Amino acid sequence: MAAIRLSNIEKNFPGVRALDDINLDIASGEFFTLLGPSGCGKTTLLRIVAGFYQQDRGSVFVDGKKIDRVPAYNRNTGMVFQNYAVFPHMTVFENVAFGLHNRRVAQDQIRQRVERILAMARLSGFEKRTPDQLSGGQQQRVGLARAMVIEPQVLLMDEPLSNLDAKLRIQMREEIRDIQRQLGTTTVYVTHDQEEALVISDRIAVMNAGVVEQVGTPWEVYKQPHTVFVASFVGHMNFIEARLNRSREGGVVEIGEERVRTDRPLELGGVGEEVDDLLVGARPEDVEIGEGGPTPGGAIRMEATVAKSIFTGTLVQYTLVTDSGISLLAERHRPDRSEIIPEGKVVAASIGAERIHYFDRKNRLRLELGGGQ
Amino acid sequence: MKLSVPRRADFWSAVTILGYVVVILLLILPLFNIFKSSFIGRTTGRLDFSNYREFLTKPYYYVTMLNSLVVSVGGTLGAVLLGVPLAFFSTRYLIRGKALLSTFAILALLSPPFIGAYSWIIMLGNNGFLRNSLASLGVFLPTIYGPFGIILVYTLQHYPFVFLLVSGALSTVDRSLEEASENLGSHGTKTFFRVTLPLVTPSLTAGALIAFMISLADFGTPMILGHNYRVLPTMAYNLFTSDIGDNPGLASTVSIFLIMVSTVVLFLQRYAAARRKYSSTLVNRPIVKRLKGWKAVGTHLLCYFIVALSTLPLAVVVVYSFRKTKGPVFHPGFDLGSYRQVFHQVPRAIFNTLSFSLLALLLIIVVGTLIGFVLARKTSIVSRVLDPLLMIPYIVPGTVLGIGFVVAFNRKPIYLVGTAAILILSYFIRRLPYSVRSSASILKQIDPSIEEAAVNLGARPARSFFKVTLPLMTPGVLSGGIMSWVTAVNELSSSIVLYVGATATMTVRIYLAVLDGYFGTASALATMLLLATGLALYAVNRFFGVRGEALVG
Repeated sequence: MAAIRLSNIEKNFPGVRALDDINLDIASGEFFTLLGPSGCGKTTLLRIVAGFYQQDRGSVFVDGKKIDRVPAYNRNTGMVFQNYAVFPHMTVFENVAFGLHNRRVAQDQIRQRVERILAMARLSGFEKRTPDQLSGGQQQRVGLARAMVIEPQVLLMDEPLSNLDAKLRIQMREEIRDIQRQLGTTTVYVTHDQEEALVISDRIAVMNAGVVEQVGTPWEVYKQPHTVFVASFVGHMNFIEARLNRSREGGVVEIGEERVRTDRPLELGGVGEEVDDLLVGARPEDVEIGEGGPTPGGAIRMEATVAKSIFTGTLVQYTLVTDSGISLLAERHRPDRSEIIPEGKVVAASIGAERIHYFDRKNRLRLELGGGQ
Repeated sequence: MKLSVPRRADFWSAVTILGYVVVILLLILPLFNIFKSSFIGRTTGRLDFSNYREFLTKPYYYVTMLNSLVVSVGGTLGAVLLGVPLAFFSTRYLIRGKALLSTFAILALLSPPFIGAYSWIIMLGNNGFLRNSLASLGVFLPTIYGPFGIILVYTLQHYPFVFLLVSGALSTVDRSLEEASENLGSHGTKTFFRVTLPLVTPSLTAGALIAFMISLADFGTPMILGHNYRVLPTMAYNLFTSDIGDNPGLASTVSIFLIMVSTVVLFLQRYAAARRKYSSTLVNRPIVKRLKGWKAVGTHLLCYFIVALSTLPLAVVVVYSFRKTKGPVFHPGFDLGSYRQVFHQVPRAIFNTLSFSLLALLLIIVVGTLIGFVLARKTSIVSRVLDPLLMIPYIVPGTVLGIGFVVAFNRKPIYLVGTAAILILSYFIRRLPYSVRSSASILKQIDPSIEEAAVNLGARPARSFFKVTLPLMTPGVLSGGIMSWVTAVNELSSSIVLYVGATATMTVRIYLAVLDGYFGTASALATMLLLATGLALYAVNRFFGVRGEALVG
């Protein structure tokens, strides 16, 4: 167990800045996820912590100790690889014992510790098998057991589930979470799967193009995305281009030619002079579909036609299109058959005031709603 | 991208330096000497163009270049004409005994071509038994001596290259591509020529290239079958070693032309292959169809006929090795006289072949694996320059390298002429590139994250190499090594230039016996080589599960 601090990390590959001034503090025992699309730098960052890459600038600290000059084989990190990287010429037991041999642990100790960790990874009885006799999920468990048995200061996981099929992925991520909780090892987990990140993590760093866009708990990242990128990468978000019309009392949001009926003007406080162009955002589950009636204060409401409806089992997903061409995704969970709206029907789509996200269209950053009611 | 293991880099730097020393000493130095010597006029003794002028103006010399091209192109075309249909039929239709067919094809391929050459003399020579029996049926064949015979031997010797590479490619063409073509309205033949054949063209040209290069560089066949039909390697050899009127300068000039031709052809093939490079994921393996009636009989007959024709010379050699002889004359009946003869007269040759080839093998495996590791894992400008330099042996025929060795190592500080070392080093350097390539490609198949996992678990780089990387490489390295051993055992073209009486190998003895007309002795020696080759092939297959196809190229 150890706390990790990454300070001012920069890494360049020929022609690309892979990481630009990364600063992260990971608490001892925390399950910390680096989330982002491929090429965002998350794996590069993980490999810098493991010692496989040397950063061009900045430092890595483990428990306050700078480890930049410690070679990879002395870093005492346990890494789990995307393609398992189980040694194909060794049995399960030999695989798991490999790191203990390197640490010159006594034979009887090795046997004990390997058996214990194999039991934890539900691999007891598989000791003598070779990797080609194991399924993908079992191989990844060997990879996990092999990394955990050395009792590393830090567990590093590089998309460990992405080679597994969907059902197994869900099962394995829970197993990983359970084992990590039991042992309390500080874990840095890399994934491009936002759902996986939300389910498994204590905190998430959302990365894009070599920078960290937001660090927060799953709740914060999903509910209060700091940037347009985070909002659209973690879950889905509808975006509507809008303008801020300034008046003496504050700002009024106008969405194109659309008639946005609100009881009161929308007010944005603390908005800098320079912000005129906005993006209004709403999660699909926050778009209400109704027949008419009064609109609660501060809500956006517009008429739209149901262009498409898709039934996925747990929910129905509607694509709504307004006359001016704005497209919205709306979701209805646990629908009754009678509730399903036919394609072509005109409905009223509304988004409650507290469910609306505002972003600056120019710098793509979140704007906090403020000011008076 | 590099691993940050600064302290241990010393060992691999040493390996890189070793690689350069080997290349400079055993390739660049000999070739530079040939290059220089090609500009030294025989009469003047000074640097000039007289050798080149002589080569290009005297028909006696320049016609050898045309002859070389004729037999190499002819042999290559023949190999393609036999290899492609055989590949197609045996991968797309159910052919009984297919494994046996490819085993015999590989055996024919690995046996030294000059064995085939003189076997054809036994069959189709001026008094050959096949010629005589065909003549009694009223069929008269052209003389086996000259271009016809050489092309025949090359065709039957080298079609397995095309066959193996093309069938490898054919069995990985995704079925859906051919089905798509049929679905879009192209029937069988059109699909083959418009879709299937273009897709396997890279392998086809690669196979043809190997066939061409080996034909161009071959020394034994034209020496035995050529008579007055001279080609570049025999011309270079004669000019270099002739007791009367030897002319090393002109021999070097001939060598330079030989290298130029192979270089041009190599680059043409590379260019063609680069333009047609298809990556595809194999999802649906091709279906092997079961033919019925006369179609089934026809394809079987064709496949068997091709392989039988190429196996025939080997069978003749084996049979003749057991025939009764008295001196050069065969008598009716069978005995072990030829073998007794071999063990009495040239036991040294057997010892030489074994010891030289095993020592060369050791060098090839150790140096090849280490350099292969540097090229695959320690990429730097220094190692990247080494890679193309190691290509040189591909384009330098054995005869030329032999001449280069003699010129380079016949004076102080390195005096090796007449020693066993010079033969061992020539086997080593000629096969080194194959070993480097194969261990590099084996390494590329080993995911680097496996080594990273070892390092991450606390293994220092040396331990991770010996505990993880090396064990994973071993099967590939050993099976590649056995193939190198086979080529070293069957090597003639550089041995013939480098040997002295005490260092003569089995192939040299076979060649000399054929020249002197002692076919019995030659057959016995050749049979022993065939047996060794067959055993090696079996061992590779049995212990490493490597199929013959994987051994080519």
